[in-house]
Amino acid sequence: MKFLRWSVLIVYTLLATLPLLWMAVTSIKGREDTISQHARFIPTADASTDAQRHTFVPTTASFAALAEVHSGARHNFWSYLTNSVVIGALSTVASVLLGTLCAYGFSRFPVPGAKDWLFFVLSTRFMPPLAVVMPVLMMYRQLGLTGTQTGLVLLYTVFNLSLSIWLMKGFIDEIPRAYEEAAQIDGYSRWDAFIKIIVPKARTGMAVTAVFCLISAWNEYGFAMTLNSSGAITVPAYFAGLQGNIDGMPWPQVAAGGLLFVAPIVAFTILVRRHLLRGMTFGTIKQ
Amino acid sequence: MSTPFLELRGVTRRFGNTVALDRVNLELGDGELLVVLGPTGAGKTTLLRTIAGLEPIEAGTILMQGQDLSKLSVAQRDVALVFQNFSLYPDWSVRRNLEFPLRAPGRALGAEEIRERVAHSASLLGIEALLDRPARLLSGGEMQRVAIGRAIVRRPRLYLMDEPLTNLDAKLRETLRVELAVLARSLRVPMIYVTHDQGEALSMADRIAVLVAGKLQQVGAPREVYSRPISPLVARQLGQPEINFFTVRPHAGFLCTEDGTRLCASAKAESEQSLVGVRPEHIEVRTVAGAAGSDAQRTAVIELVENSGPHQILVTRWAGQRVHALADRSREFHVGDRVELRIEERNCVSWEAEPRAPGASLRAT
Repeated sequence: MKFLRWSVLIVYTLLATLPLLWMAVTSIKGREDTISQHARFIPTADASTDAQRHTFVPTTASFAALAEVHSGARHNFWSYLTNSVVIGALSTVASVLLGTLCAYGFSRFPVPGAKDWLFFVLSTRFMPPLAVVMPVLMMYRQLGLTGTQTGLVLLYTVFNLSLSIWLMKGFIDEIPRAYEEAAQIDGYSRWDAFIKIIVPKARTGMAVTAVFCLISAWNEYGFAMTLNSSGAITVPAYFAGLQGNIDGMPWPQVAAGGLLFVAPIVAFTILVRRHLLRGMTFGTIKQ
Repeated sequence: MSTPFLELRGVTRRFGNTVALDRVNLELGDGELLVVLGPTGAGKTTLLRTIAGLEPIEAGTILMQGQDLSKLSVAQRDVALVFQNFSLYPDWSVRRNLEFPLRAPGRALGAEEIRERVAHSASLLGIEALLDRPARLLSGGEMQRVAIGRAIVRRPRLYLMDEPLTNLDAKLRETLRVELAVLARSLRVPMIYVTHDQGEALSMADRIAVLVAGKLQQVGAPREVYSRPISPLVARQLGQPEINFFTVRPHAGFLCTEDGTRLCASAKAESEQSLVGVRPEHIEVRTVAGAAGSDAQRTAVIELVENSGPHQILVTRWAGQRVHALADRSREFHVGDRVELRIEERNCVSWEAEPRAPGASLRAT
């Protein structure tokens, strides 16, 4: 049984990490090593010229090249990563804050037609987001929001809000009303009680919600591509935009950039891992 | 009682189609301990919550020291409410829980004063040793002590207690009940104490208010409510074992039950049927000496003998119904024994208007 469990875990881990490992290996290759006919994945110091070899000489040139502006782009990788960070962070913070407040309202106040409202909120997720790419594009043109960070922050916030409201409502419903009522009795206003009692209790939920919102904003490609010509291009759109440029795809740089792009998400997830585990099982276990 | 400390006039609260509070009128004197007694679902908790401001009211007014509370927020009312559950924040230390109300905006107390008040309340309740423990590690009794501490540390205008002892085991309940009653009187702050436990009600209250199905049935001193309940419904709320009901009609110098049994001698003129209640302790139990000399009219058969410590409860069959009587512990009774039951008319509570005992449906409200 133990053996079986471990073998399943090992196989799964390999499958899950292989693409990442391959990306890491690619990031330290030279460009010709990435496009050779024979897979070259064994790093070595020996610079053989055999075309059939499976070895390559590691180099960090690709990381240094990230600072250069590649042909087909207007800025270097770091400026696009900055876009991603700013847009991802702002939209995540906005979705979680608005979602928490909204969920609190639905959870605690007798909102007329609350069930219908909640269903409406959820229904915005039913259609694939790209189905509205044209209307959004036209709307954004009119408002002058194309190619701006604000535009993408607004869009991602709105898209993630439904998820945020539903997740947070689940968490807040689980916090006994008596907690905040006791605070009100003790002399605190409803807002004070919300800040001092509900928010600390809902932290787990907020962390879980933030992870989901960040991942979805971070990885979004379709809108980032369509609504942009230059100003607010995020990393996924940048890499995709490099296709077909005159110098060909700079695979080592793409791999190096991809690694750096994945790193913040991994770090963030590890940071809130404790909350995440509790949050995933939330509501499934009743005391 | 010149002007009442707290006055409720026609307070009404509905939840959908159910009326939780139905035109409740109630007065509370300064420093008085009023116990609201009623079965589960009677509206007791709702009553406290409306006074605290956690629940809106549809009609009526609540005045505290002459001031209309409707315009005041929960915080502004300055009342303390001790909940049955969840009154503490589990992750905080006892000290932090006690300090929390003192740190509320608008109270603006200095650190020194906060420390002093916490220490004082803690010593009143004997929880000094627990101050630095997280609340979730406390036992039930300790938790409820701290919850009460959190209420008294503030020195509020009014205490509201929502079955604070219900979740504790019987022994602890009795200890805390005594402590709480003593504390309430020493604090001289009025208190409304809600319970479904008639023992708590009788032992603690200055006055008892009986609340059933959202309606305030009777308010009075424990002795008065116990011995002169205004309705069968109220009579049923107090007394262990429950009061006995008989449907009787005065006939030929006796109160006779429906099957013709003579309940007791009576000088009443012949009239319609009415309902009388007789407390088990007011039924005299005599051993039947022998077949001769015993009054067949008064002979009951014992169906069950329950030992309840100081006395024994005899469940008997008499006059075609089940009758509870109390007997001295020194005497010996067995199931199947025949005994003679004697009742005096002065011990019968009579409700002319109601010829039938309150049914199970009323009890279940």
